[in-house]
Amino acid sequence: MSDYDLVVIGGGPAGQKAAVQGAKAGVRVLLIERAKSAGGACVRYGTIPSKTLRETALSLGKFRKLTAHVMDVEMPSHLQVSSLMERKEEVISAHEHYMQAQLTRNGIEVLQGVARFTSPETVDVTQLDGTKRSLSSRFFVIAAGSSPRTPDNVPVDHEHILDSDSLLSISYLPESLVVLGAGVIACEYASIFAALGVKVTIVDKAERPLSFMDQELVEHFLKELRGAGSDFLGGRTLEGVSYDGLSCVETRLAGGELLKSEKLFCALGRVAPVAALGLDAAGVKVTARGLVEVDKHLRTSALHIYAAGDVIGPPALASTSMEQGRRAVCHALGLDLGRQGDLAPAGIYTIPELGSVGMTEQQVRERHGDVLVGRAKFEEVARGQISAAENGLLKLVVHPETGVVLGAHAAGESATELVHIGQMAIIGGLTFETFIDTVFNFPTFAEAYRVAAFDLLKQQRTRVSAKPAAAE
Amino acid sequence: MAEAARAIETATVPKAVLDELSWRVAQGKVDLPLLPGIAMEVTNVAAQESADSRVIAELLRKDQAMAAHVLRVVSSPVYSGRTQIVSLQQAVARLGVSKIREIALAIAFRVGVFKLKGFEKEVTALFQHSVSAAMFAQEIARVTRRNVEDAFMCGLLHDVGRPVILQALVQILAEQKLVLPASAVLAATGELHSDVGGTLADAWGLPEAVEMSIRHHHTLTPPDAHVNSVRITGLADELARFTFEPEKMPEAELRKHPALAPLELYPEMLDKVLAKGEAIRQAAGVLS
Repeated sequence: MSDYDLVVIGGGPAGQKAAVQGAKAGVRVLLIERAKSAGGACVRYGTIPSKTLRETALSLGKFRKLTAHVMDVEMPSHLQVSSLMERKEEVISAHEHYMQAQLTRNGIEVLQGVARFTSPETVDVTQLDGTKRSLSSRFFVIAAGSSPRTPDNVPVDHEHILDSDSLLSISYLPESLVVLGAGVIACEYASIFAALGVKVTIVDKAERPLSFMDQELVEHFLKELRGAGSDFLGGRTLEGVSYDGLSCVETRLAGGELLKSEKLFCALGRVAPVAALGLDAAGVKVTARGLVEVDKHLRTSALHIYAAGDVIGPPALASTSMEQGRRAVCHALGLDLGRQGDLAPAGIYTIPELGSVGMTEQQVRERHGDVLVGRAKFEEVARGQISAAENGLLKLVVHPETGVVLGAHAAGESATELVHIGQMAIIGGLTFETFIDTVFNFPTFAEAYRVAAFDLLKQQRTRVSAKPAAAE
Repeated sequence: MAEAARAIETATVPKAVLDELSWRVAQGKVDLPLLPGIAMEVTNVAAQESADSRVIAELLRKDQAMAAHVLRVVSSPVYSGRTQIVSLQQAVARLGVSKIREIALAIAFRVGVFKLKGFEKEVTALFQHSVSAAMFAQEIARVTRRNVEDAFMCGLLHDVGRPVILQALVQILAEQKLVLPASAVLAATGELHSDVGGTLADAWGLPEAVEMSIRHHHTLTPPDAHVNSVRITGLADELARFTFEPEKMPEAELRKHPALAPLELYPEMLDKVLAKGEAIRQAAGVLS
């Protein structure tokens, strides 16, 4: 008989939800986590600390505008990052406390250590003092997260050349920062540091950052980034990076371009810790990109071993990872998944914030040959003016003939919250007219949906009136 | 100063001498001289306009006394305004290498060198220990993803009280025409260094993390704000001891260090840090 019914490796968003789902089903669950408390990189190095710093940066930036410059805020130059992160420990501690309480409440056993498969049914757990425990289980969920990828030509030293695990450990704001990469983590940190007055230069081989996002929203992000005195250099090939041994990091690009900055942040992707997990011993296959291979039920090549979260690759968002963890355990234990949907929103905490759900304008055009897009600028919404957040945009993407909502994309304050309304409309199969017939609180950003819907109505009427003429 | 007072009572150095030491520390009438070799090298290198700036920066990083003096000067409002400079790299980046060169040269001329007849070996060992602790602290910070610059400064300056006390005691004993065994002087230095060093760091305006690391690196019980800096320094202190005096710090004992668990430093991570030992021993050995 196995020691446990379910062993979950990793206590991040995916692992935690997997463990809770297992416990709620009444099976014996063990959660193995290398840190002293659950949460994973999300709590230690990712979402929680970066968003805490972001809120501080945003508040400082907005203060002047909201007080109509009656009270001015001047940030001392070379401000210590730690002073901006005063709330971080508080927020992390509260979050860890909440998660620990949830694990305890559900009767989940937690073991601090590092797990490695020794056979398909057993793992060895090395604890902090070096002692090892061997454990067996009927099912496993690998939710061991990921760590920053370090290319050979970027010698990350966590001092001058940093990655996302070490960036927030710096004690003072650098005067300049080169960011390698144009993905979510790169753009989020770049815009936070830019908002804090650091001269940021994002460098990437792609012509545009955040290539998977609606391009109009990305333009919005770039405009704000450049407005803060920072820049994006696309279409560049990195040759190498080095610290000059004195005071700056040199970034050499193909064509002889040389960038000098006080610090450099490398955000060129993340890798799963597959080597440390001993997956060979378990018969778990790894993809060519070094991720754990899973089927649609999140099963690995060893059918009683599941994987969820960053270890299986994109989208690698906390929200989707949680759902994957839950689904993996539901499938393992033969539980009903409930009425599920594959419609997951994306939230990017850049400044401005970007939110997206459903199909983009381009995707609808490709599938249906045409598209209708309603736009609402936040300056047209009272709440945008009141909150000094008039630089925002909502795009409502609908079917060209039926008017059914297919996508919602937003940039600006509360964008990540705002798209949830669009998400409900998509799930419900609603048409954009629903927003015209619906009363929203005033003043709110949700009013942008009505504005966008009226824009769509206008376009639809123009088309209808234009059609007979075209027929003639 | 309760701990210092208690330590003073138990030391075998006469109370009158220790009282005088306490008074001098409180009044700021103590010196932190430079190692003769380092002072000469800084003077030579910094005086040459064509000298490689990196050599100067590296020299500053290898000498706890020079580093402490530079940090003290650059943290003054004249240079940093309202911002505290927390590391040598930050100082170079903010003030420029030519200004740092001027400051280093002025310090080398003004501060003077150790004159501790009979303690030359101990002084060199103290400086070797400090720079190796700094380098170990840096490595611990790297593997645990904590601030590397802070860790280096805390490690480099954690024992800054020792050379100050040693210099002061030797001076006082000479002034009072007393002769004591070297072991008594070194014992008093060992007992008082954390408290005296902390007091000086406060008076010199060094970063709070550095002050806390100086005060608490043996007890590992600082206020919450700097607990990890102190843990890293405490562990780095023992790693440096293990590197230079393995007979006093067996590896088995090192692997039970109380800072390992709270820093979440797993055995394989400690192995990575220990693997740097030979390189660190060689780098610190240059001081001799």
